[in-house]
Order: sequence, then C-alpha cells, then structure tokens
Amino acid sequence: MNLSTLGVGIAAGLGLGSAYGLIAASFNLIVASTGFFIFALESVVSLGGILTYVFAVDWNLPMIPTAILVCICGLAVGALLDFVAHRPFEGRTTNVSLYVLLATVGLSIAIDAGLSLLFGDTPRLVPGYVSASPLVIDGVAVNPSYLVMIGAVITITAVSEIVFRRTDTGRNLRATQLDSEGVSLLGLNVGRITTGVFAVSGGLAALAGFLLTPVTSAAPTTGAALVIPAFAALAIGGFGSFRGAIGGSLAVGLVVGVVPLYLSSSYVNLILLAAIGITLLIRPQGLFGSTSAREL
Amino acid sequence: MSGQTPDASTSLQRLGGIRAAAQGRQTTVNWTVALVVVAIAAAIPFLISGYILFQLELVLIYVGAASGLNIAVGYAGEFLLCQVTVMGVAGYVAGILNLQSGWSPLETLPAAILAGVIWQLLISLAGLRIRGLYLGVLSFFAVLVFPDLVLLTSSISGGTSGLIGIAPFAAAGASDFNWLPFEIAVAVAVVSTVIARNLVVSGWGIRLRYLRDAPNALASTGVNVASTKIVSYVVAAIPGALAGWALAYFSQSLTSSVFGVSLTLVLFAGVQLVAPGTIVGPILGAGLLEGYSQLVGPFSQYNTLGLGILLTVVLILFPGGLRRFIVRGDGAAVPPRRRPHVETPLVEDESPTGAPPVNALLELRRAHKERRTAEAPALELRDIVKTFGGNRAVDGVSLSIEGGRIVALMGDNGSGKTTLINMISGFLKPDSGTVLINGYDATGLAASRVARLGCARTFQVPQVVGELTVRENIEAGFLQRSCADPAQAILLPFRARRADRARRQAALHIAEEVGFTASQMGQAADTLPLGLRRRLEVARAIAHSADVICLDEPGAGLNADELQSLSETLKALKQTGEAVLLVEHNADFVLNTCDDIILLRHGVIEGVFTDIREHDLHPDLQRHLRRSAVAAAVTR
Repeated sequence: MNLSTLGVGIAAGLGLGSAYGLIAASFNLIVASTGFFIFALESVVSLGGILTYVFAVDWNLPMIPTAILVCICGLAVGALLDFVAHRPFEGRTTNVSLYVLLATVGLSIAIDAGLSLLFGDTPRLVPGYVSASPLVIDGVAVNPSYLVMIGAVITITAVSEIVFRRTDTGRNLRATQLDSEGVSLLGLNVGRITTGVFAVSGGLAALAGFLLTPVTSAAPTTGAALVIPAFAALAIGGFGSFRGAIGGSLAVGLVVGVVPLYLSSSYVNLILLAAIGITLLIRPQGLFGSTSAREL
Repeated sequence: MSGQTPDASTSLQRLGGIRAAAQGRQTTVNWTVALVVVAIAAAIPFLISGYILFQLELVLIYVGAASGLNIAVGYAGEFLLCQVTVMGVAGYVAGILNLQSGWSPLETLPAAILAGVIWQLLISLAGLRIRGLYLGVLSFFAVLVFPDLVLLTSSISGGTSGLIGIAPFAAAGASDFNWLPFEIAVAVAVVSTVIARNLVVSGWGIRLRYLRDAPNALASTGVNVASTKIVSYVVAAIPGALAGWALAYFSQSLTSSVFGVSLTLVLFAGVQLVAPGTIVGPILGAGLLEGYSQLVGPFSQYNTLGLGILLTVVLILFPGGLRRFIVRGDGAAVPPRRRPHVETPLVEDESPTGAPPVNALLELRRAHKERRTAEAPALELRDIVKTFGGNRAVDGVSLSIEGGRIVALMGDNGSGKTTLINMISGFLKPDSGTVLINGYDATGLAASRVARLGCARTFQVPQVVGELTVRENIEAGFLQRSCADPAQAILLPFRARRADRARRQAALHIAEEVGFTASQMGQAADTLPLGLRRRLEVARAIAHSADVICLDEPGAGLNADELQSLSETLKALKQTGEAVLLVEHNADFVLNTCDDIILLRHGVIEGVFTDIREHDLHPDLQRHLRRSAVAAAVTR
C-alpha cells in the first residue's frame, strides 16, 4: 500500500464526505428546527437523481433548468411529507416524533419500491453538470463534481448557521424545536413554519440527488445507501448542529474512503453502525455537539 | 387467500377476544378461545399438505416473533425495529452449527437463542441512553447492515449464494414429514405467545407499561429504568430467535434477503396494526400481513410497496391500532373504558386454613413503621446549592423534616421550590450540599436509588398509566419489592401469581386507606378526574413504603371538594408517621393541611414557621399569603 493509494482513498473520502454532508444537512435542518427525523428524505434524494435523468435525458433540458426543476419538485415533495406524515399526528399521539419517524420509514420503503417498479433497478447514466475528466491534484485524480458538492455543502452550512443564529426566522425555528406550543402562543404560525422547513429540507435532499448523479448515476437505491453514513455523520457531529454535521460527514467520508483500501468494503457499514452506537452510548450529544439529545 | 387460513377461520372469535381484552376481561373467556385456536392450528397438517403448509408455517413463526416484539414495542414503548436481524442471527447460528458440526435441532436451539439475545443487546445497548426516536433509527440500520454481516462471514454463512443444505426437521418421505415441522411452527407461536402473556400478566405488565407511559414515576418508585429496558429487549429477542431457528430448518437454506425490510414491516406493522400492547394484537396483525406477503410473494417489490403504504396509512388513520376502530366505530380518541370490578372481597380476611391473613407486603409496611425511629430525621438537607447558568436557583438551603409532619414549601414562582423537590428525589443533582434520607446520604444518587432509601414523589402533571386500573397503578408502588424476576414470571407463572396476589391485596388495602371506593378500584386511570389521579399518585407513594413523600403542587387544578379530600388523605397519612413535603400555592389548603411552612425566596429560606394556626400567623407569612392570593386572583 503506497502513499498515493492512500491519497486516492483520502480524496475519495473527502468527496464522499461532501455528499454525506449534503444529505446530513437536509436531515439536520428538520432536526434542528422541529426535532423530527424524516427518514423519507433518503427517498427524496433518490427521486432527485431520477428526476435529473428524466429532465436532462428524456426532456433534453440543459443542466441549470434541470437543477432548478429538481429543487422545485423537492420542495413540493418536502411540503407533501409534512401534510402526509407529520400533521396527522399532531395532537393525536403523545409521542409525535416517533410516529413521524415510523410513518416516514414506511413511506420511504413504499416510495423506494414504487420508484424501482416505475424506473427499474439498474442505475442510468446522467450527463455530468461539470466536465467528466478528472482534475489531477498532486498526482491524485479528483472527480470535479466533488468540488461542486464541497462548495454546496459549505454554502448550505454557512447559510443555515447564519439563518439559525442571526435572523428572526432562525430564532423562531429554534424556539419551535424547544417549545412549539409556546411559540404558537406567541402568535407565530407553527404549522406554516414547519411546512416551510419540510419543504426546504425536501429541496435540499433533491438538490443532493441532483449533485450526486455524476457519482452514483440515477437509481432508486441511491438514497438508501447514503442514509447510514449521513445519520452517522449527524450522530458524531451532534444532532441539530450544522458545523458538527460537516465535521461528522468528513470523518465518515474518510472511513468510507479509506477502509476499503485495507478491508472488505462490507466492513464499512458495520463500522459506521458501531460508531453510531458507541457515540450515542457515550456522548448522546455527539462528539462535536454541546447540547444534549434531549432524553426527557 | 392461502396464507391466512388459520386466522381467517377463527377471526370472529378473536375479534371477540380483542374486545374482551380491551375491556380488561382477559383470562377466563380467552383461555377457551385460545385452546380452540391452537387445536384447529394443530389439526391443519392432517387436513392439507403441499406448499401452502410451508407458507402457513412461516405465518405461524412470524406471529411468534411479532408477539415477542410486542413486549418491547407495544408494552414497553421501546421502538426496536431490528427483530428480523435477531431472527437472522439465530437462524444462521442454527444453520451453521447444523451444517458444520452436525448439531441436531435440539442442540442448536439454546445456541440460537443465546446468539439472538446477545445480538439484540449489542444493537439496543445505546437505547439505554438515547431518545426512542434515535433508537428506532439505530435499530433499523441493523436491518440495513445485516446483509453485510452475512457477506463478511461468507466462509461459514455462504454469503450471497446462501446457506444451503440445512437438514430439515423431518426428511422428505418420512411419516412425520407433513406434520412434524408444522407442529413445531405451532409450538413456536404458542410458546412465544405464552412467554409474552406470562410476563405481562405478572407485575412486569405494570412495570413495562410504566416504562412506556411514565418512566419518571417508575424511577420514583425505586425501580431501575435501565434494567427494565434490558428485560424488555431480552424477552423480545427470545421469540424472535425461536422463529429464526425454526425458519432455518423449514426453508433448509438461508439468504440475508429474507431478513430484510419487508419482514421488518410485517413484524413491526403487525404489532402496530391491530392493538399494540395486547396479546392478541400481534397474532392478528402479523398473521394478516404475512398472509398478504405470501400472497404477493415475499420478494416482490409489490410486497414492500404494499406493506410500506399500509404501515403509513395505519399509523395515520389509527395511531393506536385498529383496535379502536373495532371496539368503537365512532373513532373517539380515547374511548371511556371501565373495567368491570372483579368481585373479590376487598381484603381476604380468611385464608383457607382459617388462620389470620398474612400479607407479606402489608407486614413489611407495618414493620417498616415500627422500625422508624427518631434517631435521624426523615429528611435532612444541608446547604444545598444549585445554579442554572449564572442563576442561583437554590442558594444554600438547609432544613430537616421529622416523620409525621406535613411541611409546605411556599414562595413565589422561581424561588426554587420545584428545583428543591427535584434534587431531593434524585431528578437533579445539587452542585453542592448534602441530602439525607432517614440519615442515609442520598446526594446525587439516581432517582430510583433515592426512592429505595425511602423517598417517593408525585408530579405536577400526575404520572399514572392511563390504561391501567387504579389498583394496578397503586401496585406499581410495590414493584421494587414485589416483582418476580422475569424468568420466574415466564417459566413458573403459578409461583409468580402468589406474589401478584399478595401485591393486589396490599394495593386494595391502600386504595381503601386513601378513600377509593370499591367501584373505582377497577376503573382505568385515564377515566379518573384530576383530583383522583393526584390521590392515586399519593397512594402509589404510600405503597412504596416511603418515609418521605414529596408532592409537587398537589392542589393545582383541583376544586374545593377535591382539595378537601386530598387534605384529609394527607392528614391520615401523618398518623402513620410519613413525612410529607409539599410545594403549594393555595393558602387555604396549606393552612388547613400543613403543620409547618417553609418560605423560600430567591433560592434562600426566608422563614420557617412551625405549628401553624390559622388565626395566629407570623406577619412575614401573612404578607406572603396575601401576595400570593393577589397573584392567584390576577392570573385567574
């Protein structure tokens, strides 16, 4: 094992880390503002990839309009998730977030099955939104689309941090997560805030699906394969922390990039699962997080 | 409708069973129904044969696995989605031992169960620390990584090509070929159901439901919450392991795809579908879903599509399961339930031999009272400090309360009253200072250990389990002392019953003591008005034999009559020597009930007023009472 192989592994890991970061960011947005974990967002990622194929290949649209259309569809699906898998539970069960999780797990499984019935299981190649020829940096080939993803992750994280810490909207969102009843007593429309957050998360997930197409192609299984690393990134980084999610994503990306160089790639998910379990057991608030995952 | 025969044939009777279970009439009628169902199931292999028999075998063992899962999910409220991987691990262990070492089914059985339980604990250990939501995700990941685990152990598990050639229970063509596997499947279903049933009719039924609905109250009765969770995980895994073991021999080959998302949905949605937290619920639910699965083919995308949609739709339409829909067509959120009062005498004054009744629990309480000495005060606080951020919520409080006194903690909002109660009962750790209960250091101990030193508490919002009766909620107070260990409850139910009977009697005694009427004993707690639920919490605290009882705003939201009877309950309590510390704003109630008043202000004791008489109050106290009366009038 020479050094440049390791370099390839690290480069791939950082690239994958940025992909996980994109998905972790869409999960995180909802966690940070409502406390829900919307499992079905992984299906929105797959959907984003498939829509990219439909718009770019079937309809022959250029890349920028494709990206915009995919995001709009993601926004709509996100808002729909709020109406289907969240609102029906408000006020009807004592543990809304658990029911939201279970309902979105069920939905996610159904959407994935539906997509593979409609689209087929074979991944379909989508023309890249950047040149397909790899950039060579210091002897290591780097897929240029990873650079776009890294840029996107950093932008999304920076914007989320600013929105959550500096603006009224962000303060309302954080307050909603802590005490949605109190916020609604202050006269804010919690329902509308929540729908908005679901929609934006859906849009981000679909955008992630679009950005991932050069790496994963369009397939109904794309999201399902990414949900474990993304969740691991959140657990390590601390649920609800945007900066933590980036750190977690890069750490997970490095594991996924480097481990297959030394061990069978089947170890990757097991290692991640163990990492999630151990992190949650020892530091439920995540390695980088400071606020604890609330138990009560 | 191949897959559903055993259920469909008796579904009407079973619906009757559910209705009875929902009303709480659990045993007598259901025994007959259960025997009839098992007899019919056992007769099936002599009537039909062929592939459908194999499909029915699968339905039966999955019903068993769902019954186990129901312990964790339905009763204990711990959302474990990894039951299929427990099946998978057990199945693979049985299959591998059979192939590699030629072990017989009887020899692989214990190994399979052990492996399943260990796997379950590995996955669910983090559940001791995290919220249910994240346990749900984590355990679902176990399902997603299971194929990787099989791939990694390819050399013994066969990897993607599968584990092939497991010797079946009965060889093809042998005389027992038709019936033996099927009867084993029936046995798996029956044993799993009996395991679940025996556990939940013992004190564990109460303990698990408390874990689900009122974990803080469970801790405050001295029960260790973590060990309760672990028991629910282990017991849930055993039927899963049984099913996996049987599956290995039924199908004679295993691939990881069997233990995937579809089966997860069959089991989980099967528990959730009809009536989570009842014995019959998972039998019907998993039976129906696996029937559907077999109908469309377990590996078809239509299977996952249908099951996924079904789970979502059921959750949305009937969050509490179809039971509500079956029992009451009007869709009421919480149908008023009233369990028929069991016509047993309140106190069994005569044992069969005519000797005076001896109830160990009541004796214990009596002995406890007599042992209570004046050596150490029931509760003593020394210089307690607690800060939140920069705010010193409690700033050096020292006090001591003797047994047989009712002491009120008064003060404005934010003066540190509830914080103090939380620190005494172990829900918050003081920054510095000492808490002594009966002279024992309780500082910084976990809530359940503080409770075991003799401290009980109630909560501002009463934490009782709505679906349990008044009597059962009081029994919760006895659980720390009188709960058969789970193995005994499952394996020796008749011995466990003895402890249950004693506990039930003791609970009825206490219910009577605090003034519940005979007809209220069997009433579900969620049908009680607030005042009675408060009194129920007090009764639970008494059952716990606490020497110190902390009440957090017991009077809030009660009307004058309810306040009056609560006051009488507390005064009666005083006679038996308990020390009561209560946080309360209502001046009339406090003056009418309490011996002493401690006034808190900004986390510091402003004054201690002993032997309160309503017409002879200290000016400071008068000022406070007037202020709080004005505040109360304004907020009202």
